[in-house]
Amino acid sequence: MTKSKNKVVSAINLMYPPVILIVLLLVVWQTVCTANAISVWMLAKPTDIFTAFAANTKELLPDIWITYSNELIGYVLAIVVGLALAILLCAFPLVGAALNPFIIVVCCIPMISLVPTLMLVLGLGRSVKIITIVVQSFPIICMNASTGITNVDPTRLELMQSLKATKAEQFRYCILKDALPDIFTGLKLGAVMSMIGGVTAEMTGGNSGLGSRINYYIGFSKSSEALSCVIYIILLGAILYAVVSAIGAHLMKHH
Amino acid sequence: MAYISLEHVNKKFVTRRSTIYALKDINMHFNKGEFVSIVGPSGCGKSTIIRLIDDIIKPSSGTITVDGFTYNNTRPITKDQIRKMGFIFQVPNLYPWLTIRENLELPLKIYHEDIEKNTPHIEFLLDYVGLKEYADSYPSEISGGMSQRIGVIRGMVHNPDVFMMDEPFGALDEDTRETLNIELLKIWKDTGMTIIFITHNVEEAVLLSQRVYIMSSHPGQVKTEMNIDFGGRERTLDLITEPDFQQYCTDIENLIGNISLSEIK
Repeated sequence: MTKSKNKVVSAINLMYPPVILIVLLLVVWQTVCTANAISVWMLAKPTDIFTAFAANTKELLPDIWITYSNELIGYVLAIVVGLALAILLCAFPLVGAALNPFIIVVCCIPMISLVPTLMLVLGLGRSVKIITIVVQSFPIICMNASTGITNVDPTRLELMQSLKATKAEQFRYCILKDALPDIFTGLKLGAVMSMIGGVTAEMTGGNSGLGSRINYYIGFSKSSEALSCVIYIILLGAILYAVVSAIGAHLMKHH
Repeated sequence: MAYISLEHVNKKFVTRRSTIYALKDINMHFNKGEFVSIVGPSGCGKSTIIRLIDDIIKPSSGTITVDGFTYNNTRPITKDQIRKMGFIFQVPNLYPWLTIRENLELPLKIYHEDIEKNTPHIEFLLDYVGLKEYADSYPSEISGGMSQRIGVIRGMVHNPDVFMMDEPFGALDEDTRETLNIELLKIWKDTGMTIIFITHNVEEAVLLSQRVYIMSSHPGQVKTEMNIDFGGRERTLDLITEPDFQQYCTDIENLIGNISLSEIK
């Protein structure tokens, strides 16, 4: 009873500083906009943005659905590709040596520079958006997982060797568990990267999704509507990050 | 015939810059049920020896025989052979993500043994070291001394014939170390295991062992061996103040000390 009560108290202690800061910033923003009579197209007031946010939800629903579903499919695919590749690279050092430079190169490409070319080949549909998300986020997932797998604690691994565990058993009982902190660092970064990838693709071409909606509203100088779309994007990013962090915290309770 | 023997074992580590001769022409034997310590200055390769016996690393040349089965750098040890050995690390080396009980079950899982059938044995071992009530705790929740007790009994869950211990109590404080040494002697008497004990603490080696190998370093070689005999007297901490105990310690320290001094110069 007291334990769960303590948990709630510590959660509140963690939460109130950022909440107070956000409220303060919003108040300053609102005041500056009102006091200086800044035009709504230059910088929308927070109240305008929230009004647009509430009013447009119904209209935006199809776009929200497209962005969110692409995002989830892309992110899950990136996790599968990233982790599978990391295991492959670490299990076969020769393959690793051959592929590592490519992964670093892919990691360094700003996807916005590649998306127009991809669209020439793949058109403006869903596939190009999902591919952009995967390409943008799998390298960081792969690189972090590889780091975790390669840097396994040698003494912990020695226990496996002293028991003559097979490579698969070593991976299952020791390496994977030992690498979890690095794997989850990669997954969190991957979540952020996948948001960048998804919105980049939507803003570059096509007429569906929150990214293209932002383009549309900006075309009419409707900045409060455009910013309300940004809130939906932030919301998904934050949810993804929080879910991944929570799963990580649960799996690594005793690390 | 000896239960474990090493014949003309050499081990060199080749790095990009140089070749290090860790062990040179090692000949050792360990009889069944014997308690033997290996002492020597740091870097003499004493830890490498038990890693070779446990087949964690391969010898560069020479052969190792355990219970009639010979292996070397081309012929690996079999799973049946490895089951005869238990390896105890310098640190408890418990996996922090497993409970104490799960840590103890891990070797059985790797050996594909029925966990349920072995539960009474695990309970017995936990009780033996007085940690039954901590079975479902995590390693982070118990002390260093408790952790190393668990580390020791983890090496016993599969009923090995041989215990290989790599400075197992080196990281613990003096009191805990003495307690665990006495507990180890009890385990040895109760089980009749063959124990190969690596340490740089000469007193510990004299107190525990029937025989001590003294090694020199660069390259690691066996300098000499010494039988430790206290007649019929029981090996307890009271023994430490006896003149013959002190004499053994001085003799061994002199044998090691000469080498360390020349190294410093």
